[in-house]
Amino acid sequence: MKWFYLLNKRLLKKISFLILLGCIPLLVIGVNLMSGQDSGMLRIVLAGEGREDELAVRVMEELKEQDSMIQFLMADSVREAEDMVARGQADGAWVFREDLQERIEEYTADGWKREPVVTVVEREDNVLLQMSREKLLGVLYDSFTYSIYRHYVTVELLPKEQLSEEVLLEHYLKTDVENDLLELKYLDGTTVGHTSYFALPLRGMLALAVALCGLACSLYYLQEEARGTFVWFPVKSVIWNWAYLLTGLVDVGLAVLAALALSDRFTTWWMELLLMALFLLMTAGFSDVLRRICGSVNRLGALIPVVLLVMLGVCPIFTNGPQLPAVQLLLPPYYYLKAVHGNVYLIGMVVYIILIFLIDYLLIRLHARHWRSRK
Amino acid sequence: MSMTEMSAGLLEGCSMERARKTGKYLELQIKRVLRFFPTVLLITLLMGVAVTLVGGQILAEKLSGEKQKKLAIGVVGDTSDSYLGIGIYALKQLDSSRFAMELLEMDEAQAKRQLLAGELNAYLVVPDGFVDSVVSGENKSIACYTGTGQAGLGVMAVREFAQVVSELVVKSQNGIYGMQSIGREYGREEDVYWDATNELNLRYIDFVLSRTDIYELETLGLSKGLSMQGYYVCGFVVLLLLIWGVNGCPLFVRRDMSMANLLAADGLGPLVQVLCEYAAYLLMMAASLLCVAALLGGVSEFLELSIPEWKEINFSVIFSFAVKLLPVTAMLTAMALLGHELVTDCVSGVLLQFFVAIVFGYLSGCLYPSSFFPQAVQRIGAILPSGVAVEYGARCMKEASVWGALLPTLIYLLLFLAGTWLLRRRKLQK
Amino acid sequence: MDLEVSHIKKSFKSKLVLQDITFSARKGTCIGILGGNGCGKTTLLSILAGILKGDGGSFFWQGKNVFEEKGMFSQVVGYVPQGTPLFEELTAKDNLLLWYNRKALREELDDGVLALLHINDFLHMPVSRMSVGMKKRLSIGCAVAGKQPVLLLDEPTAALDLECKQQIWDYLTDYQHRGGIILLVTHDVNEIEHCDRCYLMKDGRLEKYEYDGDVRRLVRRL
Repeated sequence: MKWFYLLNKRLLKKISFLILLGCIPLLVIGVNLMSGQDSGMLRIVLAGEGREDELAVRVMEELKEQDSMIQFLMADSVREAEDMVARGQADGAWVFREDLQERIEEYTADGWKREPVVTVVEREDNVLLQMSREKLLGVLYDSFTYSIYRHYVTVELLPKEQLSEEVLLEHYLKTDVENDLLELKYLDGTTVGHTSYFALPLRGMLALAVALCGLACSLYYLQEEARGTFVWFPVKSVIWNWAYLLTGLVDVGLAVLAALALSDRFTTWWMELLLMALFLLMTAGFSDVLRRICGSVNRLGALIPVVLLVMLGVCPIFTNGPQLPAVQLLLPPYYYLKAVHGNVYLIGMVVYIILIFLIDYLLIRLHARHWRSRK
Repeated sequence: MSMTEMSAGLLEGCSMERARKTGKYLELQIKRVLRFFPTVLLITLLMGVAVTLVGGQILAEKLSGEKQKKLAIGVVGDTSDSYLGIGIYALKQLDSSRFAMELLEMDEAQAKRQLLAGELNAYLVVPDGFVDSVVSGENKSIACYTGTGQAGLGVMAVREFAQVVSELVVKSQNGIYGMQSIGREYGREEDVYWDATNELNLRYIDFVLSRTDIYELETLGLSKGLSMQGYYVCGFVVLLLLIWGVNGCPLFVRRDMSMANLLAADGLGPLVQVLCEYAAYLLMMAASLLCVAALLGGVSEFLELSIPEWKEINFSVIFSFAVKLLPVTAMLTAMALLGHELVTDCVSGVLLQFFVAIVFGYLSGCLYPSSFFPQAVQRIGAILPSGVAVEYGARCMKEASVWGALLPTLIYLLLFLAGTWLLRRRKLQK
Repeated sequence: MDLEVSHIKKSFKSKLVLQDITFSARKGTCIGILGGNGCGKTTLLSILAGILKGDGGSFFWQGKNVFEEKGMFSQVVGYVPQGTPLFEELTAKDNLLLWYNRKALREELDDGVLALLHINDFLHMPVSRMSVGMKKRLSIGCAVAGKQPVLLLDEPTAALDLECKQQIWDYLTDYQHRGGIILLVTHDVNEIEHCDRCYLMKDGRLEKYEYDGDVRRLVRRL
C-alpha cells in the first residue's frame, strides 16, 4: 500500500498524466453539452408550397418537436430549402405540396392516383437518408390511414349512410392504442434507454482513454527503466510490473467510473465495479506485454497510435466493427464494451487475464537468461 | 583597402560562413531523419492500414445500394401465421427497406450467438399469438434485442425503425377497428365486416409496400458539395497526418539544450535551427506520405473503392492528390514541431501529439461528420488547423480553387513556425 | 573469509567480458577496482548486485551461496549504481519511504546513516531540483536501508564537489568501521587511498595492485 501511494503520488505530479486524467471529465462535459444542443445526424429542412396549409404546418411542427436523430430546420420558401441542400447546409429537404390534405385524399381514393404529396430533395442518396424517409412516412401515416379508412367506410362499407366527420373520427379514435409495439432491450434483459447519438460512443471513448493510460504507464516504465530507477525493484515479478501499471490505471479507472455515473450510460454499481476491475487487469497485462515486445520508448511510442486506431476500428466504439475476431479478441476494450450487456464476455475477460499473465510470465523467463531480479 | 571595404568584406565573409554552417546543419538534420526514415515509413504504413480500417467501417455503414452494410435483423418465434409470414416475405422481397435491412429467420440460440458475434444488429422475438393479439387490439410487444448498444448506426436506426413500425401498426389498427366499430353500429353482419377487415388490411399493406410513391425524389448531385466517400477520404487523410506527428518525437523532443546552445554560440540562432529542423522534418513527412500514396495507387485496382469525385481510382489520381495536399502536410508538420518543442520528454510528446490529433480530428469531423455537431462546435471545428486541412483537401478533391483555403493554411504554418522559434529562443536564453 | 567470489564469467554476444573473477574479503574491508572504460567493472558489480546473470561462478556470503538462495541479494548486498535510481517527481523523503518505514526513517535521520549523509538538509526537496551530490547521497541512503553487510558502489563520487565527496567518505568510513564490506569501482586515485586493497580489471580478470601514489605507473598498467 505504501508503494502504491508513493508511486501514485509521483504519477500525479506528471503534467502529462494530469492532462490525461483531466480529459475524462472534459470529455463527459463536452458530450453532455453537445447532447443538449440542437443537432442531429441528419439535417432535413422542411418547407411547404402552400404557406397556409394547415396539415403541412401541423406535420412540420410535429417533426420539429420530435426527439429524433434528425435535426429538422424550417425554410421560409421552397427555393430557400433547395438552396440549403445544394450548398450542403442541409442533407435533404422535404417540401410538402400545396393542399396536402386534398392530395392525400386523392391519393387514397379509388384508382389510387398515387401523385406524390411530398418532394424530397437530396444531393446524394445514402442509408441515413433512406431511413429518414421512413420517418416521413411515419409522420404522414396517420393522415393516410384515416383517409383510407374514411374512403372505405363512406364508399364501400356504408355508401348509403350520411356519416359526418365527427362520427367517423370518433370511431377512428375509439381504439387508439398507446403502447409501443417494439420494446428495445439488451441481451441481459434491461431496457434500452434513450441516449443521444453523441453519448453513444462515450463508454467506448472512455475505454480508449483507459487503454491509452495503460500504454502511457508502460512508456513511463520504459523511461524510468532506461534511467536505472528500477535497480532496487523486483522487476522480474509479473505482479510487481502489473502493480506498477495499475497505480496509474486505478486513477483513470476511478475517473471513468465517476464520468459514467454522471452520464446516462451507467448500469449498476456492482456491475460497473466488476467490469472496471477486470478491464484494468486486462489493460495492465496487455500494456506490459507490449512493453516487453517493444523494449524502448521510441518503439512503443510509435506503436501507440497504431494500436489505438486499430482499437477504434475494430472495437464497438464508433461503429459495430468488422468481423475480425483474431484482432478483436486481443484487445481489452472489445471485451469491456461487449460485457456491459453481455455477461458471457465476463468469462472471456477472466480467461484473457489468465492467458496474458502466462504470456507475460513466459516473456520474463525468456528475458531472464541475461537478467535477474534482486528479489 | 578602406575600412568600409574591409567591413563589407568581413560581413560578406561572415554571411558566407553563416550560410555554410546553415547548410551543414541542414544536411545534418536531413541525415538524421533519413536514418530514421525506414522505421517511420513502416509506422506510417501501419497507421495508414489502421485509419483505412476505421474509415472503411464507417463508410460501409453509410453507403447506399449494394455496397452498403445492411442492418441485419433476426426474426425469432412463431412466424407460421399467414399474415406474419406474408408480412415478412413482403419486407424481404418487395419492400424498399430491403436495400437497408435484411430479415433473417432463425431460432433464438442462433440469434443470440450471432448478435454477440456482431453478425446481427438486432433480433426480434415474436411472441406466440402475436397476430391474434394485434387483431384483438391487445398488441403484445415484440422484444427487439440489440447488441451491447455501444456503437454505430445500428441502435439509432433500430430505435427509429421501431418507432415507425409501431406507428404503422397502431394507426392501421385505428382504421380497422374504427371500421369494425362503425360497421357494428350501423348493423352490418359479422361476415360482412370480417371481409371488410381483410379488404382494409390489404389496402393498408398495399399502401405501405408502395409508400415510396408518396414522395418524389429529386437528386441534385454534388455540384457544390462533397460526396460522403470524398468527405471521409479527406477526413481520414487529415487524421493520419495529425497522428503522424508521433513519429517525430524521438528526433525532435529534447530535454538537453546543450547542442542548441553550442550552435547558437557558433552563430546559428534559434530561427535558423528551427527552419533547418523543420525542413528536414517536412522532407521526411512528405516523403512518407508520397510513398504511402504510391503504394496505395499501386494496389488501387484491388481496392473496392468508389469515390464519385474521382472518375477512376488509379495510381496517378491518388498520387496527384497526395501532391496537392503538400501545403496541408507542411502546415501539420509545423504544428507537430511546435508540439515537440513544447515538451521535454518523449512520453509527454507522444501523449500530446495523440491527444491533439484525436481532439482536433474529432471536432473537425474526421471521425463523425461535422454536420452531426451543434453549430457552435462546427464553427470551432472549421477554424482549427484540422478543419482548415479538411477544407483544403475537399477543394483539392473537387478540383475547385484552393486559394480560399490556402491562405489560412499558410497563416497557420507561419504561426506554428513562429511559435516554435519563440519557444526555442526562450529555452536558449535560460 | 566472509565474502568469497570465485570464477565469475560473463560474455555478451560471444565477446568475453569477464573471464575469471575471483577475490575474497573479510568484514570491515574496502576493496577498490580500477580499470579502463568498457573493461567490465560495472558488469561485475551488476552480477554481484543480482541484476545481471553471470555465465558461471559463485558468490558466497558466510558460507551461503547468494546466487542460489532466494532473496539473499537484497539481504546481503546494497548497490549504488552510477546513475541515480530515484523518482524525479518525489521528494527525498518520499524516495526514502519506499525503502524505510517511518520509524526507521526517523531514527536514521536523527542519528543514523541518513544523518551522516546530511539528508536532512534537503529532505523535502524534489529530486528534480537536487544537485548531483544530493542525488548521490540520497541514492546511498536508499541503498543501505536494508542494513546490508556488503555495499557495492559504482563511481560514487564522480563529478561531485570536495565537500560532498568528504561527506560520502565520512559515511563509508563509518560503514567500514562497523564491519561492512565495501566494493568500490572508481577512476579517482584519491579514492584508492581509502581502500585496503586494490585490483586492476584487465582482459576480464582482476590483478592485485599496490598503489604507491604513482599515477603514471598506474596508467601504464591499465
